[in-house]
Amino acid sequence: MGEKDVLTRIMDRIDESMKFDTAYAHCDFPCGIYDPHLAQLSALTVVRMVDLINNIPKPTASKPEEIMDYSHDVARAVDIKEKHGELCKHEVRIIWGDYFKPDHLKAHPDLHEIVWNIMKYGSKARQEPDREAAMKLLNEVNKFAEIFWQTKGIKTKRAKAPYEPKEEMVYPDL
Amino acid sequence: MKSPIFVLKISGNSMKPFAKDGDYAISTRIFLSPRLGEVLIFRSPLDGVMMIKRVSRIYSEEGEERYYVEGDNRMRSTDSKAFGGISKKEVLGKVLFVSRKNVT
Repeated sequence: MGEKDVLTRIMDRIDESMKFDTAYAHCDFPCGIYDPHLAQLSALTVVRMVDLINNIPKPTASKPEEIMDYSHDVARAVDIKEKHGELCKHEVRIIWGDYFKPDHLKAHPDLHEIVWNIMKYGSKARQEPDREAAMKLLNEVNKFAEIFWQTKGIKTKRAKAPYEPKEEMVYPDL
Repeated sequence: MKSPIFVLKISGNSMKPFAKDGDYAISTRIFLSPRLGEVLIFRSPLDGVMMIKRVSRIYSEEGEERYYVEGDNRMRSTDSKAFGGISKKEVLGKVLFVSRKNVT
């Protein structure tokens, strides 16, 4: 490590007090493709799985074949809920970390809190077949999607998904 | 009125060895059309954030001059390979020189 030159030291001082704007020299792989839709679908899937888990007919205690069928169906639904809860969090982390920039945060100061809520509700929805937690996850992901499309200058609309669980989703109005 | 000279802090390493993360780009808003090899400050057509890249090709599209910009560290750069050429209205300035974080 060498010493900083005089100009850079002056720049550092100025930067400390008034903060220069940033010019990005991006060095990630240049795909440039970001879309919150997968995160939204994953959150909706979590809601759907909670509904299915809670509506699988309870087995008769004296019938082992019913217990087997019930256990099997619950296990599959829980597995899907687990995977989609994590997939939702993963997709949001990618967009939050790779796409959003400080300029976006200035325009949407609640962005970090929304992402934090998604992480929290995503974990809660994985831990329990709790519809309220799953809906909170979906609502926060919808807010995240609205902010994302706003940064692209694209209007959004809210509409019920045309399939179960028919909960409200945010769609880009292209 | 905006100052003709402005300073930006660089984030990322796609412009190595010309500039690296944490360096300062001393830039000017006063210039004619960008020229081949010059380093520009511009708004990304992808997300509107300010970027720094070098002009590697100039071409015309529908009568408008467009600038293909790339990082000097080409294997690790999000640039015109991702978002195509940029137009002059997206160019905010030209980099005059870089103040380096460490002199080695």
